[in-house]
Amino acid sequence: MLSKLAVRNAKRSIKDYIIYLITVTLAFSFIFAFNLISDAKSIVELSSMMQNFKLAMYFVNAFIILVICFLINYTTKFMFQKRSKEFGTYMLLGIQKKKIARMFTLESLILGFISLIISFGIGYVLNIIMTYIIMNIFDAPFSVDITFSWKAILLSFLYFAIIYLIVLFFLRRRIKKMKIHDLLYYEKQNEKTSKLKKYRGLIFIVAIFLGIVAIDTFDREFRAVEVNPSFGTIMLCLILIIISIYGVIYSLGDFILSFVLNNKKLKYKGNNLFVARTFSSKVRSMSFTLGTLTVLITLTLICLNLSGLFKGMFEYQINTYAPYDIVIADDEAKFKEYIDLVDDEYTIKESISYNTYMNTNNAVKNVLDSELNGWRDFDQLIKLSDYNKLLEMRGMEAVTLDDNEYILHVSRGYEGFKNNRNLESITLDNGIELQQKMFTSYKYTTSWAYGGGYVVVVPDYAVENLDVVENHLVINTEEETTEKFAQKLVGFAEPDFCEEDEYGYMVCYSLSSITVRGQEVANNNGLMTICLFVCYYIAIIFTTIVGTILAIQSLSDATKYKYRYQVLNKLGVDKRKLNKTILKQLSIFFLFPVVYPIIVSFFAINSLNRVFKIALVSDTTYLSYFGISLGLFFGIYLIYFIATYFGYKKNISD
Amino acid sequence: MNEVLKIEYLKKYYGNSNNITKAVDDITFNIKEGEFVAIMGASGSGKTTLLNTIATIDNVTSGHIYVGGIDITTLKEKDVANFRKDNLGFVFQDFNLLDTLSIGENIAMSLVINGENPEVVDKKVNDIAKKLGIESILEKFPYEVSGGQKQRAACARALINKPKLILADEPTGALDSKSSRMLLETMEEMNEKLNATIMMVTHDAFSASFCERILFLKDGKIFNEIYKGDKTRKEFFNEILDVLTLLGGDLSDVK
Repeated sequence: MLSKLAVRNAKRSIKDYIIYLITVTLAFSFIFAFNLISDAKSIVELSSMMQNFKLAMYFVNAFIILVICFLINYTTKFMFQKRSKEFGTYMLLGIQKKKIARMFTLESLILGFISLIISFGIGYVLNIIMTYIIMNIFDAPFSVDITFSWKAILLSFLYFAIIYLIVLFFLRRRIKKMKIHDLLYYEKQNEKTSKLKKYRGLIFIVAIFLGIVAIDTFDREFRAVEVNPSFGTIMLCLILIIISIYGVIYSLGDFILSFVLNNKKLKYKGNNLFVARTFSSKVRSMSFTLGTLTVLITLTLICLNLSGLFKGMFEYQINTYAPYDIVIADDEAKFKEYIDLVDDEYTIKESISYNTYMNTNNAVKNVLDSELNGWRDFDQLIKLSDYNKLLEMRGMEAVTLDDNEYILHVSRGYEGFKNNRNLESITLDNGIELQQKMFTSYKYTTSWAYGGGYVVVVPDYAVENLDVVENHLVINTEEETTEKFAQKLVGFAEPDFCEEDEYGYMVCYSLSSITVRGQEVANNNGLMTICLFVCYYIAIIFTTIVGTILAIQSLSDATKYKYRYQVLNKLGVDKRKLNKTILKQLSIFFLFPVVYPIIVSFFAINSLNRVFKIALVSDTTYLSYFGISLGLFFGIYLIYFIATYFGYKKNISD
Repeated sequence: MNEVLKIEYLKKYYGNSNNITKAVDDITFNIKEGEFVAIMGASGSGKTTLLNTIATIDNVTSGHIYVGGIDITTLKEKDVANFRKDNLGFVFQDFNLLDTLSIGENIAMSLVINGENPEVVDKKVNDIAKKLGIESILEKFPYEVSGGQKQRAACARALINKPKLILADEPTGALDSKSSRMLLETMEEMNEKLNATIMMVTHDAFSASFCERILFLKDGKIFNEIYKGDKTRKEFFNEILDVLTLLGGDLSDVK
């Protein structure tokens, strides 16, 4: 009977808490999928970097489990309160607490277990999709790993056990403490007013102040030229921000309420009074939960922003180091053989060979004096015609130069030298004087001329009598190049000279330099995949959890406070206006925990940009990442909002 | 006859040192086996608090409550559940039936939980249902039956253990007058034919007129006590109304 009752109650709960169950299932699915991925041989063997993926996953999972605990614990508590009368009745019938606890535990476990089982299916599909994405990133052939990893399943069970042990521990304690009177009359109980109420204004100001201090301290860590942020300070900032968030959330509801109440025009306009009162009472009764949600949203946004920064950085790096499929700097005589070698493997789309020239009076280098200085101790020049061909190979527009002009193309580190007077005109070794036509860092690549960090583009005639630094061969292929082919090419470039080192080993040096895009991509991708997947993983789970808690809370309010809307209706508010009121109310409720995180995460990414900007396309690229992050977050959040809105309307009209 | 319920100097105070509400203020009375007693009074007179203390839902501030000779004010937490199961039955204004269980299962609930033999359970449920005229709805769920039927199901649930005392808190509060009358007649029958001892809290004179004895509460104290004796229900009803008129206010309140 007891288990029959538990099963029936669980069945009923499925209907009422469908959003919650979907979220828990999704969370378990992600955990399982990531366990599968980090355990899959085909993934780990992609690159040496991917070994760390597993470690990162354990660490992240520990964190995620904690948050899932929060969700499940919250919802269990919530279900418990909603059914307090039912439990009271059990006690009245003479059922012992122990048995009631056992029944409710069984119910929670049934629900959790259903989620877990379904999650294996969904998780497996997710795993395939994510494997596909990773394989795509690495340009590796995609094949589905059909072998089912028992280890991943066991790990999922382990996480499940940990989560439910914690949740059930709290549940048992709650049941132990409950009094029959409180259960039977729970709905009639008044909320306790907080003793801190008087100080809300003060708390608000202090919290805001703490927030500003945290943001400023964080920014200071990244403001100096010598970037050396200390871990301790950053942690301190994080703690301060978290305290500030709880403080603001705790006090802001009343702040808004008193603002509305004190302004007669605002107070009596439309449904403002109703919405403000409902809202502030809501905030007052669940300020701690809302605070936690706000913290989660803050972390989510920061995670998403970081992933944007990382992604931008990696892409920029690829484009800086390997914009062309194959770049070879070697003896011109060997170029024919190189081309044959490439031709065997790929279809050559276009190729050019050109020379770089040296200018030893260092007219440019002497001015561009910074810590970014390359290892070449002379300026490197490229002929305009070669430069234009190189630009065209990247799909950029060709440029023109008068006979007495030059272009200085620098890496982003040298941007500060724009408009430098000493560069207005330069004189080369051969006596030709050139005026600066353009100074740019747009899409600079080290492939043009190794070891300088900048390149001087001169009219074709101006390289007369200058020594050649290197012969370059640049090839674009139809197909994507691979890491393997890079090794083949390097093997072909015979060492120029070999010598025995102090330990007796033969060490060979090669003056040639070979860059294959496929190899650079593979090197970068390991780290990028880890960063991106970890960030998105955290972001998705946190967002769904926040959405779920807000949805559950709103939907149960809709049932509980149905009469409020009936009263409004009787007072002459028609259906359309009622819906508008609901929309307004829910919008405020859902936006409330988002506003502060948006501000905090904006300042955070703004500070981090000081470090990242050098490796990004431009100083303001991070703004687009910020926008994308918000878009991603709101994309998921909106689904929960819409589901809540329609559920709310349904609950009220039922 | 045995005393089923004996209350001595019962006090129940709420609030803090600045603001004390004396919900039940020094009440002493007895209920004998087979009695059908009503507790009447205006809102806030302490009726429900009194009932809750007897039901072990509330603690007492001072005084003693004996049910079947056991002092429930000194019962330990873990013994309370068993005590309720064996000695008390409850009927509430809002039925308190579990909506995931059918009417029959609701009635059987406490027996089953406590490990009674399934066949005995079935027999007992059918017996009691027949007596209360709800045998046709045993398979239905609470939301499929009327309020009156729900309340009779609640009565059946309260009766099934043959408790020493049935506590009813405004049992007709959520019912229409026809259902109310039927329920009260059922309770009268329970009292007369099954010899159930019932204590009913109500503010409704009509409901109270079905009882044999009525205690009137005012401000937590017993204000009056009347017996039906050989009076007809109509006479008794009128008498109740008279007391209620007095209860409504003192002469000094009228100016």
